[in-house]
Amino acid sequence: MNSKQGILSELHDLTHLDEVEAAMLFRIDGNVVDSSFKEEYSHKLLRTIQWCKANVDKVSLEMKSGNLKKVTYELNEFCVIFYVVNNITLLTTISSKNANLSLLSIESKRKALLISNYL
Amino acid sequence: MQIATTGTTSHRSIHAATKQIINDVIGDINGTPDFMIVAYTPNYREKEEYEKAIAKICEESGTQNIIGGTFPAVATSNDIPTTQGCSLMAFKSSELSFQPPVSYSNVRLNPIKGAEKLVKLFKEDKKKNKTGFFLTPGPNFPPDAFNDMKMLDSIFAHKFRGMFNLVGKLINRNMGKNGYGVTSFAYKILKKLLENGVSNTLGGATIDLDMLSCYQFQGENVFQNAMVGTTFSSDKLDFGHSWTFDKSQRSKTFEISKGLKSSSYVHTINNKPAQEEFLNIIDIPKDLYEEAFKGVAYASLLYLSTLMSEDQGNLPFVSVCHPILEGVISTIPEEILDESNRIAEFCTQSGIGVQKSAYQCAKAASQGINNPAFGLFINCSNRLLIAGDKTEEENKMIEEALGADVPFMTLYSGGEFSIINHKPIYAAVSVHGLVAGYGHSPQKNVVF
Repeated sequence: MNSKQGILSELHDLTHLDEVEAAMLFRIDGNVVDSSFKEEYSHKLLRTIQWCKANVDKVSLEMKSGNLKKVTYELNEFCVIFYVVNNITLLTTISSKNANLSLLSIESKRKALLISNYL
Repeated sequence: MQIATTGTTSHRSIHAATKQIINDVIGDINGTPDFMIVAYTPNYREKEEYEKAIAKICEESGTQNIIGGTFPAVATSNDIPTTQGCSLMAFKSSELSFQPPVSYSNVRLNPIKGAEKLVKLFKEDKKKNKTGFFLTPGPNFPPDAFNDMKMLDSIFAHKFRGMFNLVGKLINRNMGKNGYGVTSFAYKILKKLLENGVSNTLGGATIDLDMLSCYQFQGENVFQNAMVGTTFSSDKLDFGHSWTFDKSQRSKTFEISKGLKSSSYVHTINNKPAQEEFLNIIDIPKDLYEEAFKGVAYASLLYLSTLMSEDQGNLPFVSVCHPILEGVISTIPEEILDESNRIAEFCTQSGIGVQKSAYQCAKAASQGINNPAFGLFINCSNRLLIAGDKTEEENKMIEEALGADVPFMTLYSGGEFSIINHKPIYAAVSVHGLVAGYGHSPQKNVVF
């Protein structure tokens, strides 16, 4: 499996979880390296993705300056987890606001580690 | 020589995860494993999927000596935890023996019969050192469960407690038959094992935190309400057991005043209506509590307390509140409640406390063992939720206690059970461990 397929497969794993709506790998400048979505998605989800894309640079700066590995935002009906993959990429997981964040953060951390092996 | 090898894989497809784990673990062992413990996460849902996966592992490994189940997360010493995959621990050694695994379905209704199967294994095993390992179904509260329990609040149940204990028993039995209820039946298994001279064993309950389905595996069989188990024995290896929980932060005490014996249902706390007083003690306003839980049929408030038992010391248990019910469901077997002074104490769990207690458990279990060969840990899924993505740190603490390169597996359970030096331990929100290894070598003790 090449690295692109590998990354996409890890993102698909995340969106296969019941409560996850989307998983994206962002570069810190806001460019999307790869992404995966549930088959049916709403406008509200798209707006949340737009917000992620517009703010990923600020979030990553904040994470770097605070030496943070993970930050969580609650936006409208969604919960967004940013996880550091390496110096230039962040894994972003968007889940429903009722998701079990403890379980989800375990899997996000694992996926961030597996994705970093592909980069 | 390595006795056990472990691995963890994750994938959205159970077949891909299984293929990978076979490659990683079974491929690593030279020949056919003697025995395997396999743990899947419950997100694959369908029983048929698990059946196919287990059949594939049996076929590829060449052995039917497998037990396992589904747990919200699984982890091994050489990989970080996953909530979407599987872990496998494969054993191969001339120094370690396993009895062919047994199973007993409907163990919720007849735990004694299940225990008898384990007793038989212990009796057949003639090795010097032995211990047991078994898995059971865990607590399961589907949406209707709380509604079904409403009659436990009736005036009849309050006024005619003695008579209603029988009705409570029937409700409990019915809940058990439907596959839900607490896991107090496991205490009966421990008691039966003790009566038959079993001195050490480790057990845990499978669980799905979404309360949809949990499975137990034995050979190629996949069960929903069964006990599966085996025994480990050896003339050379020693087995160490321990258990603990985060005892660092204790707060208010309360009295479990009145309850229905057979259903683990508490009517009054501090001689006041149980739910009302419970919320009062933990300082949660009723309107806030109802807003948080009323809309969701299966959600409930879960809190850890301990009860002083004469036989077993401070035992942690979980109390469950639900807006539909006026009482509180507590995971204390009636036998333990009867022998206690009924004074419970709240225990607040912290991430650091969870990590430290995991270290303490592993350290205590490996005491007297010079050279640990492998470890097996049953860790509460509530502790998993407390630790979140720091769960990995907890396993690092276990590694620190056992030593690098000692393979171990951690299963995040819905109830933890042990017999340690002839004492039964039935607990919640705790970690129980088994460490096998070489003790002081005979040569060292020879005096010339």
